[in-house]
Amino acid sequence: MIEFRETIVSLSKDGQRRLSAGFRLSKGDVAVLFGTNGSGKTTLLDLIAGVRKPDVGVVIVEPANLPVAYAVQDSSSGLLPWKTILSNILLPALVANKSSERTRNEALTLLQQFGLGDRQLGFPYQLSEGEKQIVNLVRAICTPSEILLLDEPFSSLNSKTRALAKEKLKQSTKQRTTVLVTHDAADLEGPFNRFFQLANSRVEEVDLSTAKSFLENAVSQA
Amino acid sequence: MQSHKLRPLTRALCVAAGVGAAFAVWHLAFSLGWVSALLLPSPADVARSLFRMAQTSAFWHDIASTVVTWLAGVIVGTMIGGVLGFFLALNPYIWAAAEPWVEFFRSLPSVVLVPLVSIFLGVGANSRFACATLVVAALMMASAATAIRATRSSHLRLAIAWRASFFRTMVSFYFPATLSHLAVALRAAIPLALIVTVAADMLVATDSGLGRILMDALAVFDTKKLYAGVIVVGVLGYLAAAISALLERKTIHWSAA
Repeated sequence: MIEFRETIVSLSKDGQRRLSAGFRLSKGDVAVLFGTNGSGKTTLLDLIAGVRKPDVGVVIVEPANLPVAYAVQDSSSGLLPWKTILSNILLPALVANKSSERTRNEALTLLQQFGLGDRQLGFPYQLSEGEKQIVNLVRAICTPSEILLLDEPFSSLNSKTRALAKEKLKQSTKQRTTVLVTHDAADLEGPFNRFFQLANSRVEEVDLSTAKSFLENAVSQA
Repeated sequence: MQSHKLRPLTRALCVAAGVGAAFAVWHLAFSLGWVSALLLPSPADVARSLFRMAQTSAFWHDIASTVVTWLAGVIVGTMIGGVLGFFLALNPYIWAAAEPWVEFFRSLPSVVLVPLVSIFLGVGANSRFACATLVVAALMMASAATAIRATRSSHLRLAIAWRASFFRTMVSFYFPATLSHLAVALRAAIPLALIVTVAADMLVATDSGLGRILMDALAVFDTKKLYAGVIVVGVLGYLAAAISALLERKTIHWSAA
């Protein structure tokens, strides 16, 4: 469960730009956050992950002490360069003291399915941007967590890989609370049931057609 | 312009050609009298002087003296600087107070330390070792602190999201990042420590070391010996740089990205 309770957070260092949020997501919810650049989408994910604290109000995440699965926007900085691909994927489980043969097998299976099976012992610098994004996504899926945060997880993927990634994501969101940030209307064709638009310094829940319309217009204006 | 990666043999031939060309120009300059023979002896004379020196135990003792001090300075300086920089930079307030001093010592031309250190430790090997250690330590402190800051701004987001303990954050995030930064900084520290060690040989008049060979040769204007000494120091520096580059490639190959 994720709840933003009368939350206000600064989006700029001088505190002039702020974002207020008040919404609740339950287990099983799969939410999409969208908005213009700089509207605060990644900041909201950071608040959920505990990386940032709100200026006002609280962000409640339950269960509180379990890790949060987080596929960050910059795939390169999301991977530890000194660890192999497989070690990077298994690191959250190791950190949470929940390493298991099952997680390892799941990681290896996913790498195989994404065509990276033979790269498990390679290092991040040997991967393309798209491949790094896949590894970030696989790691998020394999993280022993009830909260799944995905910051533009498909942006560098080709259409075939993107379809496979969405399929895998669909399977992994069932017992979790998931929040996905996107700029792409095509990403809405997924298991999403909640849609939040960030505009005018606030977070507003909208329906699917409004979300699609915004994202399609954003593309045509770009 | 296209970038070409040379094959090892081609590269070795290019290096040999470069060295050969330099010696040929040197020989020509001597033979044709472009530079006074008093200032520039022939390469053959320098080689003979080097050969004569190499037959004495004092020469090898001087090399060993410089190399041991130099390497000890690199090792001790890396440990002291790395550990201090790591722990000081973990706390942003403490680092804010310490950073100006670290940057001051890091930016100081290294040989300036030699007379300063000799005031406290006197002339001799101790001063030479202390100078090399200080120069390396300042560089390593700054490097370790950079590693901490870089980790804080990128990978630490994940450590927090994954609810990593303090111990796990240290072991999985900060330590590897710092070690890799130190390995990179070592490439700069090794030649810097050689410079300051040889300078200390000369300035604080130790009774052994490569700097002493140079000063002795200068005192009697034995230019053959002087050039031979310079070549030995240069070869040592070159070998050290090559070995540290190789070590860096082998130990932190992923930083080549």
